[in-house]
Amino acid sequence: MIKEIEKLNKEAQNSISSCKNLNELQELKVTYLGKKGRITNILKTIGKLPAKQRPKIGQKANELKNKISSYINSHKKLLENTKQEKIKEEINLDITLPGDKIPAGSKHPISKITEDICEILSPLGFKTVLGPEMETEYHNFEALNIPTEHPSRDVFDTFYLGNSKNAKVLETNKTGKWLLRSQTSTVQIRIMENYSPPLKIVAPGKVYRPDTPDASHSFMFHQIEGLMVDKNVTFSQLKGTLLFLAQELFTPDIKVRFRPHFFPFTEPSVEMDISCIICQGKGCRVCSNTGWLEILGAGMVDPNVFKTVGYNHNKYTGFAFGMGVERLAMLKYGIEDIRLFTENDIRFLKQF
Amino acid sequence: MKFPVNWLKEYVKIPISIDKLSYKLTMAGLEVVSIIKKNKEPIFDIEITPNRPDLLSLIGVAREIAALLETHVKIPQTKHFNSSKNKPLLSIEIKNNAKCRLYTAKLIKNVKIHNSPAWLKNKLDLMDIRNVNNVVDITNFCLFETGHPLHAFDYDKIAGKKIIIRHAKSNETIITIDGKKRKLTNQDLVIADKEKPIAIAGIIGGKNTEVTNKTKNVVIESAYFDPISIRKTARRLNITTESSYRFERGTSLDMLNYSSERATNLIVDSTKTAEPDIFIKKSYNKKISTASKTIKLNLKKIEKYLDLKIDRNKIISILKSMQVKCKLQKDFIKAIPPISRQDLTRDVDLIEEIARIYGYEKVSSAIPKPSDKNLHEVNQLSVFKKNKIVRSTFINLGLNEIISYSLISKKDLKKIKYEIENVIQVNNPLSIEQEILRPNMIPSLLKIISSNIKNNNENYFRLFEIGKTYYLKNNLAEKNEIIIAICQLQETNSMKDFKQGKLFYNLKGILQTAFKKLGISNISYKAAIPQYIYYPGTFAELIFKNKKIGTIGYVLEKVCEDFDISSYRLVLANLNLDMINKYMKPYEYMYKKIIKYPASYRDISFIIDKNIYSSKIENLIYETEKNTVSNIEFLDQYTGKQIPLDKKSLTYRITYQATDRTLEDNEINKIHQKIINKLKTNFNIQLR
Repeated sequence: MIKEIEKLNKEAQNSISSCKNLNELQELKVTYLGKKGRITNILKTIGKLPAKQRPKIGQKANELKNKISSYINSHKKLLENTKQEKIKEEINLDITLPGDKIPAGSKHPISKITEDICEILSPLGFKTVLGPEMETEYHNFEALNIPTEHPSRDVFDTFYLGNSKNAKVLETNKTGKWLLRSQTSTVQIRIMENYSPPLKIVAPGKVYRPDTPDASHSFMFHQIEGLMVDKNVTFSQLKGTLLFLAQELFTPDIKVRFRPHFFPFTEPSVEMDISCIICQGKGCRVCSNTGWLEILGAGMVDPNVFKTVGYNHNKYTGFAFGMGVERLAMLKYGIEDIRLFTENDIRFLKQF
Repeated sequence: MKFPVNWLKEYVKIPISIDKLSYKLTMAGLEVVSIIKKNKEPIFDIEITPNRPDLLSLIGVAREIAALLETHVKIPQTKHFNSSKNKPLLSIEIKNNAKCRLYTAKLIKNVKIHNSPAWLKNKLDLMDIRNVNNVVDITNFCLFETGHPLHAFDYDKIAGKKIIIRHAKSNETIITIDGKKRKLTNQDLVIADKEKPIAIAGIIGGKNTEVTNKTKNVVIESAYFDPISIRKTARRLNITTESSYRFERGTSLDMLNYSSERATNLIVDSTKTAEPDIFIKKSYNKKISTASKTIKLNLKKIEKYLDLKIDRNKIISILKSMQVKCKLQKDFIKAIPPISRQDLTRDVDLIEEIARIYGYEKVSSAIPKPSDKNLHEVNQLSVFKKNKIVRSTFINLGLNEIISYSLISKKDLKKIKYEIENVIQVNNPLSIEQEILRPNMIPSLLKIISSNIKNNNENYFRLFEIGKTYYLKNNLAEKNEIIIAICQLQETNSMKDFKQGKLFYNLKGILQTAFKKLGISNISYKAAIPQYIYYPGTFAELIFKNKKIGTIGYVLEKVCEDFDISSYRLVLANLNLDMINKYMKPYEYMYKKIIKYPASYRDISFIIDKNIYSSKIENLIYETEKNTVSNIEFLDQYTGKQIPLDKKSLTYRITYQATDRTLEDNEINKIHQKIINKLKTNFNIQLR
């Protein structure tokens, strides 16, 4: 009986190791280990054996069962591996070939910077508002403390509107000629005329000036205006807000400086410089070797502006700021020519 | 303006390096744009802001430096010459005292004209001013030193020995010292003698009274001219001189006198024989104040405004260094600014001066807290946000956003046959290419497509723009619009593709998904008579709540030709963004239960009249079996072989599914047959 078991062991070993596929292997498993399989048959006969032999034979038979089971399992693994190898040889993808072309959309860099800035200021409570591009002299100049004979009101600096039929100047009784706004500061006036303080707004949009186009000038460009009015608004808050903006828009370790400047609608007025993002302040062509880049104008709202819109300038103070979006986009993305924004070359657009 | 550093040092001690000084000036609002070297001399190029005409002079900037370095300026002393007691040898008449509020003239007799001494030549050379002769050079020198322009006339050439300040006569002419003949208008202020204009006031002198080598007696003019008048004339004649530049920005009375006295002194010094003979001064305008208003400056306000505590002694010393007279009274300062500082009229103006000299960097940075009360009630506030959602919707669908000019040409507007009467134009355009404020977004988009086709070899591209159009009706109005274009090279889009409307359905698919994402449902597409630019038979109006919300269609070949894009096929959609913004509900999703009972599908293929719209077929199917038809999917449309010319073949896949049970096959077959029968009776379909 023992010999028979050993014989069976060898036979099983041979037939399993020479087995070529998983189906055959499954058949062999049934042949040996199935309900009517050969091992099962042996185990069934054990009862008929003399009681003395039973334990030993039983033990051997069980050992054989385990052995065959492990032969089958290890051979199964082998067969599976071989199968995968074979598939791999057949397919063998060039995984370095490019993937399908999935068209990706792109946001215009001007929209991108505009949205970024409005989002940065949103947690500080600044609401984004919009105003008209066709404006009146009153909103573009007078209300902003720009006197009637100021040079910026010249036809050289502002586009004035007319009817195409006869070039008749379009004007209103109370607020003067219609024009294309030359600054988004007009929205300050529009908002203050309609709402009472406190308020915090940012106003992005297109502005127009008759500048002959070149690498850094365009007759249409974008600005973002900011305004905060409340009791006790301070120059210190102006600095803090703009520092926060620069850090979020560029990098947290950016340096800023505030230089005194002049704008008719703010007093004091400042210009803000950031440390040059190209050379980190060491001096390069972009920053004309100064290490600094001017990015915006700002200041405390001039009391005359408050008077014009009917705010009590003894009770309220405020700050305002304005920046050119194209300039910021040029600095942030390293764009060297402002005309690229309106050329809209697809090779340019797809990079954003 | 250029400021040679060593010249500045003649008025103020500068114990710090040039770089440090440059930085200090910049941080005080006198931005040193660059440091130039000429003849080995360092020169600051400083941008002077328009509110500070007093800084357009060496003395002005020296004063500022003195304030910054806490030291004093040294202004050259002048000797005062008294008027001669003889009968005046020159008379002055101001005919227009609104434009000339003060005119002074000094006659200096027996002047010797020669070349200027080296020191004077060098200084003017540093300022890039041509040397002429001692008298002219001295007037130029005084202009730079004091900021107040002077003019020198040859006394003997003044007819009638009388100076008249008047408007020019219409079509009067003058040959100016640059040799050019200038035609004047009756709005230009001139200096004239009894016969003719001898200078364009404040701008440029006349050749006829120019100081030459033969000149023996000179008249030095120093006056106050109205800035606006000077600017208008200078602009019209297209002349900018050192003189006009300063008068335009406003000159001050203290320097008016000092400048002419300084010049007189220098001329007398330069020719031993010279004798100033008379001093004539005329003023007709009493409005010129020689004193400034007193400003009450509350000390607490300074601290509150800046959020910065500055010692009151420091405040007073800063103001004094600006020549502001101060008197401390309890909690405020009574301040009187100098006459040269017309920009200082209110307390905030003084706060700026204090902060500027004290240093803006000393002010801390505080971030304002988000306020709880801030324009909550305002609807229009969300337009920006809504535009942003629309923008990202189209970007997510793979489109490239563009921003084009809102100013276009009449020519381009004519190309799309837009009525160009009564549109808004710019009356002072830079060029006819940017004359019209676009009432339609198509021309600017087509131009961008055209330039892309020229510069690129993309076979297929998709662009969109969110922008405004401008209208002149009862009033001026702006509308927000979206325009979307798909462009494909004709070679890759066959005639068959075109006829089957491949690009049309491509774009319609984009619109459908976009509207779905924006939460705008039930848009119907209505065939309509197309606007000129669209291909007939490819045009539809998008209808929402019985209103037109947009249009879609192929662009006419003629239009493509006119915009130089005829090698491409083009489909356009133009949507009303104001309406989209009004009705969109991008966040208001309502979950619809997923049906757990299985769905069964039946495809149906049939031949039908070509003119019957798919939407009618779908509606009929839905109406016939509301409860069991859960979806109808369009699979295919076919025209051509085996199909009669006036017919088309359509294939749909109908999904049958009930919400409460599993539909059995025989039940579905019955329903499906019912639908087929209905289609047969209504549309006379033939199953394939």
